[in-house]
Amino acid sequence: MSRLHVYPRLPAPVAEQLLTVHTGRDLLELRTLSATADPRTTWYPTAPYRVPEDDLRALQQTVRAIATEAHWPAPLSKTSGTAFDRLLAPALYRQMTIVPADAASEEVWSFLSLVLLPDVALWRWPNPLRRPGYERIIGRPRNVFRRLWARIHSLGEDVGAQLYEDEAVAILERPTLGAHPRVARAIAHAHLTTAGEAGTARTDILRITARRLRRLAVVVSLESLDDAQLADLMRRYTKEAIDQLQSERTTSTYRPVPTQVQARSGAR
Amino acid sequence: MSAPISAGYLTPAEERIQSGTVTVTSAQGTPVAEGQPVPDWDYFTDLTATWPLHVDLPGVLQDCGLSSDATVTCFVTWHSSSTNRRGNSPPARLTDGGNQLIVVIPGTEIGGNLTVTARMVLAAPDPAPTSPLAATLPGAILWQNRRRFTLEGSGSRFPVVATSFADSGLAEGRRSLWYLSCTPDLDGSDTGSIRLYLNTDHPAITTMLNQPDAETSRTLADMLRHDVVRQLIQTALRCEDLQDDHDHGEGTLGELFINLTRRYFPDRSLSDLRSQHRSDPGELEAVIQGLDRVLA
Repeated sequence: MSRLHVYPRLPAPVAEQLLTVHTGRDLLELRTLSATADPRTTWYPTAPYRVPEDDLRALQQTVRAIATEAHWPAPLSKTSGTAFDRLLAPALYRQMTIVPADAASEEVWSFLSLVLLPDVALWRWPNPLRRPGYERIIGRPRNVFRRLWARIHSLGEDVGAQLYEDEAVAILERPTLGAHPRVARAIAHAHLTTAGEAGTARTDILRITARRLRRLAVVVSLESLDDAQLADLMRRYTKEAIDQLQSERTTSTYRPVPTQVQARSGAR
Repeated sequence: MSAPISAGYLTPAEERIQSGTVTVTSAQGTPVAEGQPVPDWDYFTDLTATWPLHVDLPGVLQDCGLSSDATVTCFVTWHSSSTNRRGNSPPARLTDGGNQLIVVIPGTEIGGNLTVTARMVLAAPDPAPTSPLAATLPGAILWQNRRRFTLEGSGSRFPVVATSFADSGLAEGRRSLWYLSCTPDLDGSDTGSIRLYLNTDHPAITTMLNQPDAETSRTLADMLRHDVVRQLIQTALRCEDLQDDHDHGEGTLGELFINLTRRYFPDRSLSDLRSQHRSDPGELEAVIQGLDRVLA
């Protein structure tokens, strides 16, 4: 296993100031303002390995290369944004080699988004409403880079990169389901193999599955199940969610003609 | 610990299970019990949690309506508040008498508060239960208990940001005192969902930040603390999904709301509080004011 690093941390007040200053700026200008260091950053105090500046520069280049493939700085459509995320997630995870506990620091992701790669961060999520604590740029869990890293860390490259944004959120933002990697992967795997062919909205299926699993997890310890039991349970819950959704759709499209109308029109 | 949850099946009487002192130990360290900070811990120090259990197994099976052929396993799980990561020891068959539950926790995956939970579960459906009310689902939780350890800081870190509202556009850039931002996602992280902005354009706020011991600063800080609690309780009561008997999980906003309302109103249910909040919100606010002893 490669050596794990800690990353620079940009304090929250500085991050919010930078976000205000950077929002709306030309992307080419943001690129020139980007840097691999900032005097206001701090580090986790006892870490033996701080990420070297060369590694930060290499990370910058990797992310920018993927952005260029997605036609940076041209505005992204929803589809091309998702495609960019799918390409970036595994590359970011592999290259960062960050201590997972350090990756839980909001300040680390604020550094990445506002100092190292503001040109890419604000291209992917431009903050059109100029929100001061914009969660896609400030390093909170939905941060542009943090959510992609967390997705691969919890779900692995094989399934993590195949999920849509809303699907990953449905699993990872429910602590009872997303915090345990084996459980999270079992949900994602069953979803991709079972719901992928259902011919109905995948995201809706996973939302129903996750809601029902969360209720089950109050009385059933999912982590105590072995792999076979877990896979079986997830398959069953996914199938039931598909059935529920199909039944709701059938009911909502069936509109019986009111009796008075039937009488007037002669309908039987 | 969370409120008791009606599981819909039989569970054992508490006296059937005796927990010894639950400890967390680093490789070189001495065991630390609940309530004490774990000394010298950092990301690069793995921890071992140990949970001794003394169990009256025949009594547990009898209380649960399970036969002597039923397989009950026990294990210990951990959850870290900052990384929102969980793990567990492999389930082991529960034995009558002493059981020692041990889990090794990787230091690189944890931070903030560490919650350790001992669980006793039904491993597989009992072929011959003695009661129709016995648990049937594999993994059904028959008993659990939690302990919390502090790894970093003095608890959850409430994010506070001092910023100019005029520059950042918060509250339309007005000269407000503060703004409590709370995204009411009950499953979301507690510290990730709440943020308190202090307006550095307001002279009272800059005084409070620069001269915290001044009389006016102490008064304002008192008002600020009360207002934060007041707003959080109001937000909690507006969340219809928040229920007394629902375990939202450690480190979530739902858990924070439940703990907060229980701390202020230990004898009242959420539906009772909601009812008062709808019919006479002013009186409820006055009650919170009194409980907070604002300026008293």
